[in-house]
Amino acid sequence: MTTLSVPAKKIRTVREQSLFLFFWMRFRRHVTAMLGGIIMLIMTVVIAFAPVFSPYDPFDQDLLNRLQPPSAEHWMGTDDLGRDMLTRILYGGRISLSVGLLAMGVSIVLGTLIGLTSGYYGGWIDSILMRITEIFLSIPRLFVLIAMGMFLRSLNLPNIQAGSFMPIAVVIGALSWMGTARLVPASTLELRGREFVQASRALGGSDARLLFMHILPNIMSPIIVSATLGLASAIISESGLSYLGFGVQLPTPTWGNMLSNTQNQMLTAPWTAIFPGMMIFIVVIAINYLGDGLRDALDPRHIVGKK
Amino acid sequence: MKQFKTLLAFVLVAAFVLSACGGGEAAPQAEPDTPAAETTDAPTEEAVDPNAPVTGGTVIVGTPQEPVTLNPLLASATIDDVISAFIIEGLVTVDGEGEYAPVLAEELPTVSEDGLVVTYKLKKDIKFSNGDAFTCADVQFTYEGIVSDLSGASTSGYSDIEKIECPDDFTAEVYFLDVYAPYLRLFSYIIPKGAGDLAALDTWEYNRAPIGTGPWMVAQWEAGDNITLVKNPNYREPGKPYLDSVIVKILPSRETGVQLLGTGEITVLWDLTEADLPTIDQLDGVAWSGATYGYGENELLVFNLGPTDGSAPADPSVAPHPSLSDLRVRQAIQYGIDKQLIVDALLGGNVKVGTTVLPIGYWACPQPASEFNVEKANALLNEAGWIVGADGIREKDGVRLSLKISSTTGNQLREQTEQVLVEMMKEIGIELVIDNLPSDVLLAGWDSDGMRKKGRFDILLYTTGGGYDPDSHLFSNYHSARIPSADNEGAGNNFSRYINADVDALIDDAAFNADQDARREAYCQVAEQINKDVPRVFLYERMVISGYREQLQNFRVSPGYADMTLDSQNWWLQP
Amino acid sequence: MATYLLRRLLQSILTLLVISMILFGLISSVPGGIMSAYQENPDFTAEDLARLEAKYGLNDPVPVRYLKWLGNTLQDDFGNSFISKRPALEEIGDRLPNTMLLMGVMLIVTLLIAIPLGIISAIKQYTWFDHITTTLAFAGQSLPVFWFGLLLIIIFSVTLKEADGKPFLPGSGMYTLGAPFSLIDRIEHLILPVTMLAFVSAAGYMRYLRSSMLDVINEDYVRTARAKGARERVVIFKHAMRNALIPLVTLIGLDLPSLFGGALFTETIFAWPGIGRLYFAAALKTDYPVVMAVLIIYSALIILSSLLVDVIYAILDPRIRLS
Repeated sequence: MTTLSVPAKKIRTVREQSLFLFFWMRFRRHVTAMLGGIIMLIMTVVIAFAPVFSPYDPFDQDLLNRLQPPSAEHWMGTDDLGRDMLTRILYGGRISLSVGLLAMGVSIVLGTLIGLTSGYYGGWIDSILMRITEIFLSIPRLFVLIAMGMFLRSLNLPNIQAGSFMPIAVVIGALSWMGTARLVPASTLELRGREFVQASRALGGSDARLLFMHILPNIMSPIIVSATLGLASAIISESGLSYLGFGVQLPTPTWGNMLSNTQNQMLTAPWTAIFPGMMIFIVVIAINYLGDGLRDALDPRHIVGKK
Repeated sequence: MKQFKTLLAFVLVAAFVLSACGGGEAAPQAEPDTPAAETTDAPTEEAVDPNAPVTGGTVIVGTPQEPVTLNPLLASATIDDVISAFIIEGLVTVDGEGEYAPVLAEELPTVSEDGLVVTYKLKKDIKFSNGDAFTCADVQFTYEGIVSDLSGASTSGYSDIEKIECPDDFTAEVYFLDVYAPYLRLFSYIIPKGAGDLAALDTWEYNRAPIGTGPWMVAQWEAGDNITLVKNPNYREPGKPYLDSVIVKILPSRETGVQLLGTGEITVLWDLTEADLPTIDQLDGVAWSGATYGYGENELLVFNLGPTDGSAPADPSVAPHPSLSDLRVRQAIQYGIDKQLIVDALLGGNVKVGTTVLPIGYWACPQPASEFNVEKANALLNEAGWIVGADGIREKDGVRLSLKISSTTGNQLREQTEQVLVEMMKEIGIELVIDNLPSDVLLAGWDSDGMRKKGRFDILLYTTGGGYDPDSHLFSNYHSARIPSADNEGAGNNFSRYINADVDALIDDAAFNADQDARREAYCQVAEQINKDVPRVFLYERMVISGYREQLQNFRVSPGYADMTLDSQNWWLQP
Repeated sequence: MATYLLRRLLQSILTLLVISMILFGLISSVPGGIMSAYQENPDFTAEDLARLEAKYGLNDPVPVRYLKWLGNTLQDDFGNSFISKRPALEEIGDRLPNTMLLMGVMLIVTLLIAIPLGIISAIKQYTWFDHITTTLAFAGQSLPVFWFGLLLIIIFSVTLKEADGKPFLPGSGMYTLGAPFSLIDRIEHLILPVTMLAFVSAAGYMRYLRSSMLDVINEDYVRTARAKGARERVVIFKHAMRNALIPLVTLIGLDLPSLFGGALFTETIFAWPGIGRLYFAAALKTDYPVVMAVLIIYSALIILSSLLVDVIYAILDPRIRLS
């Protein structure tokens, strides 16, 4: 037994390695995706090590220096309480990206589970799950997000912590899983009929084992792509909700809540409106390009960069 | 090559976006066709005296809220009363100096010896905008409307009226069942008897196009966008109003309003907050006018002395708040707040710090300002057993001194105040966590499980006070009978669950005392006791403020009922 | 076909019913509502409050209120707004033309930009033109719309000014108040909000069209046409474009409900009196008759349009069979 398992493992590693190399070779040639990736990398590092890049505290107020324009001391100026905008943008990025990641996680897990179940079992389970998906697809998303925002606020959660972003992220995730759920069933159904799945089933593999060990790994590519694009749209959703006042509570900064209440400062302090939005824009476009590159690189039918 | 091109395209777009952000001073492009926002139809003959009023023109008044109705019998929001003040007048008003003054009455009403009959002498030859003459029958009708079944108006005071008699067309005698001390506040609006059938009040045409004796009347109401007011042809002052029309423009938010006032797309912006004043001061051609009204409103903190689990007991001592039930903690919080800094930094020094529940007017009861003293705050907290823990936040018996502060979302001034308080409390080892709610959720009633009524909060931040007689405010906010609980079906606004027998007795006695000076003395004692017990912290005195373009003449915000509509018949636009 | 339609219709109605239940439950669990406005006024006695509560029918439990609501709704009566006391449908009717004007113009502008750009960039794949347009499209899809709106105001309404100090382009409303009707004035007021929306929306259409055009160009029948010596222009317009535009029908169809729902951010930022703003204001005031009416009509339109798209698609594309 032992002698047999060793080469088997080796073969698998080699195969995985080459697969990854293959992917990397294709991805590398996708200039904009690489650029997106590099921007995201830099952004993540800067945000993660925010204290290194900024000498200020994001909560430190300087009420005598409110709404100062960008200067050598404050590269992005100061906000309505005299806090350094750059610092708040760096710390705000932590929250905005975390909300995005968490919301994306929720939506991908929900979507994948529903999609897998639906595609694997088929029949009435499939039709019920697809009906539910249809219900969620038929509601006006932004409008319902606002209603959910009102509902969340009214819950008056007793043990709320400063800057807690769980609720809003979960709500965003819970309203955006439908795309993934519709993506997964077809490939699941197709894989279910393949020999290696049939074989594993004949050997007595449980449904869960089949689903998560055999089917899921083989449909990861589209899921990864949809996760990337989901991340971008979750970041935008958070900023929109926060802009309307339903996001993360102050003084914790997020790129969205930094933008709310800026319309009256546009005549006197336009930088308060410009910089946070620019960060959202840069990050989202970088993620979108990344997603685009991933799709091309992961999809073997797609030819990259050739005329 | 392809990669290079893509990269360059990316850079190009980035450059475009960046240059767009930079703004820059592009040459202003003339476009003569553009109709000006204020179409000041310049008078044909040149006015010799620059101070002589110019007739004609349109003023655009921006408001962040749309009036619900212009019928005072159904009004529920402040904006309803403010806009209807352009159109509707009453027998008596509170004027620009904060004093009661007659409008449709010849003089302030007289009271009989026993205090039970109040007599109004009415002005003659007054016509409503539809041409009907104003008589005593309209006073009777207004009273009937207020106490009718479908009425949405407050019946306080009116419910004590037995009947109204009209000995002739221009005399109204109001008979009370009991002495009603604040009788002057009654009949601040008059509804003409021809307005409609009271059994169908909800569907009156009057509700969106009221008939009044004021300078203006509604010409058109485009839901969600604007209300156009034109001259009342029957207005009593000849040649007035000077303007042709006033257009009320409904805006999505106050923030949009500030932007439009700055660009000149609106002439007046109703209901600014003190926090907008520094911005307003920086805008060219824009000024503001403000006033405190009634006996004054305070922006304040409300402490919850009772349980926060929603059990809402009538007596908070069955489950006192773990920290705020201790007077020393409340005092310490007050010592830890630099009210003057908040006023100077956030409000541009334009208002006074809060000191008392009765700051101005006849009922004023001035009190010394609270002291900002971090040492005293720390000493009090130490004495109360709250000791600074490892994370800088105080603890007692394993409980962290972390309190939630709630206010209304989307109010920039409140959000700023809260954030400043968070920092100030950090200095004395108290953690404040902001948890704001939309205003209607915050203000929700007992039956819909409102958090204020049920006591599911630690600290609230909002504005209250006002009114022109302190009786109802003090009773409803500080009397123990007005602690919302199952016993009284959630009535009252004593959200602190504050109980003080002396305060109760003083308020009760004053309500039945006909001697106004004695009442003032009693209310002042209440105010003093409140400052000793600190169920609430008065942060600063609020103003009603409106911003306006400087070419608008005779614009002034009144501390009385008229708000920004004061003397709108005298408004004119400097060409 | 008939049975298919019938089945889809029944499904749609069921979907709508479930949606209405969920949304009603969600909205009526938010405290607040009409009574909040009266709570703060100490002049309102307890009797006043009780009388008002009964007047608005707020004493019933939620399921009872839902059934009452459903009963009335089936008779076309969405109830009266708590705020304005007017029928919710009337409130919506007042705003609908404004929203349809904004969104209609936006959709036309979007198509006028997206169709030519999408087709040209597909034909001229990997040229300068293609790179710039696709990059712009990516930017459009990545913009937070409300921020883009704020930027437009900063640039065109606040920074750029006319000689008389008026903004270069108006940043609010549908027309200049108090001025006589003028078409130019109306158009000027449309420019910024339409730009804000169309840039973002055209980006999506353009990318979609470009890729469907690329697919079609590589199809056998187009290659055949080319091989047979048809002129390039004929190939593109007669064969490729017609087929590439079919999927566009889907996209437009799915966008049609937004003619009703409008654009919440745009309407809020540019003070445009449309449905989106109506909804947001009503939501903040927990005015549930209006909130429910907007949500249900919007959902119904979404369901209807997706049904419509499926049917039209089947008619246009004979390869697809309805089952």
